[in-house]
Amino acid sequence: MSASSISPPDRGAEEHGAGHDHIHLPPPSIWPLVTALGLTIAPFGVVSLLGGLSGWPLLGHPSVGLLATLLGLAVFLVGLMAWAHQNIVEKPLAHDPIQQQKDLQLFVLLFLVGELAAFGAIFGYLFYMNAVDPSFGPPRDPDFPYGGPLAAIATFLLLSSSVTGEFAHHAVTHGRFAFARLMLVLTLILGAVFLACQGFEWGEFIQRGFTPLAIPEGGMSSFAAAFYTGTGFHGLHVAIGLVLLFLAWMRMEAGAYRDGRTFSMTAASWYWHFVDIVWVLLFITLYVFS
Amino acid sequence: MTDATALPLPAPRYRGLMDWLTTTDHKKIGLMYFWFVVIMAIVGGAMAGLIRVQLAMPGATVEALQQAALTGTTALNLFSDDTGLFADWGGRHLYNQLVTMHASIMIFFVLIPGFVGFANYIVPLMIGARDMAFPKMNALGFWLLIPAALLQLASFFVAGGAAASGWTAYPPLSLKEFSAGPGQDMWILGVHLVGVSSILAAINFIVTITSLRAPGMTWGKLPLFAWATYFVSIIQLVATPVLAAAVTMLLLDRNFGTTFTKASQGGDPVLYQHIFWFYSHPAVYIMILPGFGAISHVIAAFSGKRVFGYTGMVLAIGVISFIGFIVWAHHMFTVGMPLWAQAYFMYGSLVIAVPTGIKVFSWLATMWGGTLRFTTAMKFACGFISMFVFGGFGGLFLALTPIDMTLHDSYFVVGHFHMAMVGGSVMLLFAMTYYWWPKMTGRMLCERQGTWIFWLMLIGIVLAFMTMHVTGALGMARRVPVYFKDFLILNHISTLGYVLTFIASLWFVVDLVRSYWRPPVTENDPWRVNDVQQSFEWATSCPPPAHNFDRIPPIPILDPKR
Repeated sequence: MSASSISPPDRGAEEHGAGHDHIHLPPPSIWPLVTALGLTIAPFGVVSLLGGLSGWPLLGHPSVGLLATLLGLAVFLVGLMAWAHQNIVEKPLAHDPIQQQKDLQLFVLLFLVGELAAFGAIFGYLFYMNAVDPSFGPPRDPDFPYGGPLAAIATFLLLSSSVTGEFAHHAVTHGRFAFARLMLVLTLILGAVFLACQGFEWGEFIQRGFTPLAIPEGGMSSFAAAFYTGTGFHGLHVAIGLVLLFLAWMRMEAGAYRDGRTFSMTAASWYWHFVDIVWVLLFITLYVFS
Repeated sequence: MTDATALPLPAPRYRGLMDWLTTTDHKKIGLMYFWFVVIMAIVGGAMAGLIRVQLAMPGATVEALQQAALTGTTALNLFSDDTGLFADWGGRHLYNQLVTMHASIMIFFVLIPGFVGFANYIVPLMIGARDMAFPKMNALGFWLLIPAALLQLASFFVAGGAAASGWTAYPPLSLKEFSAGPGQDMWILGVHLVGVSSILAAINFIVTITSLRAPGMTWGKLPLFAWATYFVSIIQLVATPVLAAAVTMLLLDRNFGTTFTKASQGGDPVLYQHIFWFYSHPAVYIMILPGFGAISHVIAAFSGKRVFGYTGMVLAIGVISFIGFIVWAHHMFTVGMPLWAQAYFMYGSLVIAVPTGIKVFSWLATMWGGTLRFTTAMKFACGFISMFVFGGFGGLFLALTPIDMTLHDSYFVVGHFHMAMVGGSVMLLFAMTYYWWPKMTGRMLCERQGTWIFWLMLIGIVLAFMTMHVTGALGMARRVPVYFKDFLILNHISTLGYVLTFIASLWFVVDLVRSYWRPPVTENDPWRVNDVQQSFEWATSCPPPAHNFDRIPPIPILDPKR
C-alpha cells in the first residue's frame, strides 16, 4: 500500500474542531415523542369516527373518536410547534451555521422530491387512465364550465404569487425587510385568492352535479375522484404553503433574519415554487389534455 | 489543535427512562430500533408458526373437504369455521388475517426498520460523524413505528378482525364489499405512519452521508454499508410516497365512495396494482441492499483482505437501485398486460441478475486467497451467499413470463421470496448483529452457541423454503389453508424447518439478552479487523461514548481502491 493512499490523521481534526471550545452534541428533546403521540391518538380517533371501534371502551363511540382525532391533531401540532421553538432557542448553539443552513436546504429539497413522488402517483393515474380508457374524462356537455376562464385566472394568480414570493425571498436574504414585507403580503393575498377561486370552481361544479363521486350525463366517476383528489391535495399544499409563508413573515418581523440565517424563508419560498410547479403540471393534465 | 477530550461536554439533562424517551443520540435510537425489531420479529414469527401448524395439520385435505361437502358432514380443520381449534376467533378468516399480518409485520416492522436501525447506529460511526444530521427527526422516525405497529396489531381486536386481503391489499378484495371491517383501514393508516417514518429516515441518511463525512472520507472512500444506505434512502424517498398514494386511494374508495379502483364506475383495480408494485418492488431492495453493503464489511473483515472490486460493488448497488424502479410489473404477469409490456418487464427483471452477480462474485473474490476466520458472523455471511443465490435463481424462474404463468400464486413464489428474505435478509441481519454487537453494546455474543444457532437456521431454512419450491411446482396454491393430500409430507418438512428456524431465533434472542451480563469488551477492535476496513467504527470504544469520537478522524482512512 502506498503512503499516498493514507489521509493524514490530523487534517480533519484541525479543520473540524478549529475555533470550537467543546464538542457539540444534539440536546435531548421530548418533542419528537410528543409529536408521535399525537399521531398515535389521531388515527385511532379516525378509525373510531368511521365507526370501526364499536365495542371498545370509550373509543367505541364515534363522538369520542372525533374528540380523540382533534386531541391527537392538537398534540401533534403542539409537538411540532414546541419542536420548532426548541430549534429556535438552540439556534445559537449551531456547530457550523453555514453547513447547518446547507443541510436544512438539502432537507427541504429532498422532502419536495418525496412530495413530487406522491403527486407523481396522481399523474400516473391520470396518464394511465387517459391512455387505456377513452371514456375517462371531464363532463362532455359543451355548456359545462370545465376549463373555463376561472381556472386560467387562478393559474395566472398562482404564477404571479411565485414571482412575488421569490422577490420576498430575495429581499429577505439581502436584508431589505420593508420590501420583503410588501411582497410577502402580496404573495399571501394572491395565494388566498387562488384558493378562493378553487373553492368557487368546486362549488360551481358540485352544484351542476360534478361531485367527487359522480359526473353528470353518466361519465365515469373515476375522473371525478382523480380531479377532486388531485386539486384537493394540491389545495392542501397551497394552504400549508400559506401557513409557512405566514410563519416566515412572523419570523422576519421578530428579527430572526438579521444574522443572515434565512432558512425558514428559503424553505417557505421553495415550497411555494414547488406548489406552483405542481399546479402547472396539474393544470396541463387536468384541463388541457383531458 | 488541543486534545478534545479535555474539553467540557454538555451534561445530559435527563436520566433513566426519560433519557431514552428524549434521546437524540443515534446510538440509543439505533438500539431502540433493534429491540423493537426483535419484538416484532417474535410476533410475526409466532404468526408464521400458526400458519405452519395449520399447514402441517390441515385436519382435512381438499379431498376430505370434497367428501364432507358431498355427504353433508364437517371435516376437522384447525381454521375451519365451526369445529376448528380457532373457531371462536374467526375460523378460516383468521387464517387470512394471519397470512396478511405476518407479511405486513415482517416487511414493515422487521426487515425495513431492521436495516434502518443498524444504519442508524453504524453509519454515523463509519463516516466519523457525531450524530445524524437531524437528530430529533431521527427520533421521530423511530417513535412513529410504535403507533404504526399498535394500529396494525390492535386491528386483530376489532369487529371483523385485522386486514385479511394479503399484504398487497389488492382491490376489490380490500374494498368494503369483501373487507367490511375497520381492520383494513387501520392497516392503511399504519402503512401511512410507517411511510412517514421511512421518508424521514431516508432524508436524514442522505443529508448525513452527504454532509457529515469526516474530512478525508471522500465519496470514493465511503464504506460500502454507507453507500448501500445512501442508495436505499433514495429508493425509500422516491418510492414510499407512491405507496402512500396507492393506499390513500383504497382508503378513499373504502370510506368515502370514490371510484379509483372500482371497475364498474371507470376505475381500474389493475392500476392500483401498478402503483402498489411501483413502491413494493423497490421495497424488496430496501429490505436487502443495506445488508449487501454490510456483508461486504463482514466478509472483508474475516477474510483478512480488502473488499474486492469496491467500485464495481458501489456501481452494482446503484444499478440495482435504478433498475428496481422500472421492472415492477413482473409481479403482475397474469393480469393481462399487452405482450410488449410482458416482454419488457421480463427482460428488465432478468437484467437485475447482472449487477447482483457482480456482487456475489466480488464477495467470493474477496474470500479467495484470504485468511478466512469462520466466526459466527462469517458463517452467516457464507450462509447468506448460498441461500440468497438459491433465492435469486428462483427469482429468475419467476421473471420468465411463461413460467410465471404456471407458477403464479403457487408455493413456488412463497418459497422464492422466503429464500431471499429469510435466507437473504434475515441471515444478513444475523451476520450484522454478530459482527457489530460488541460495538453496539460492548458485549460479545457467544461464538459456540452462535455456531449451533447458525446451523439450526441454515438447516431450517433449507427444509422450510427449499421444500416450498417443490410443493409449489407440484401445484399447491398459496394463501389457502388446505391442500391435496399428496402435499402432506412436503408440508410436514416445511413445518419442521420452521420449527428449527424459530428455535434458532429464540435461542439467538436469549443469547442477546444474556450478553448484557458478560464482561465488557475492553478493546476498540475486538475482531482485529481495522487494517482491512476503510471505516471509522472500530476506532472508538465499545460501545462508543456519547460524542462517538474524541478526535475526528481518529485513524488514517484506507483507500478501498488502493
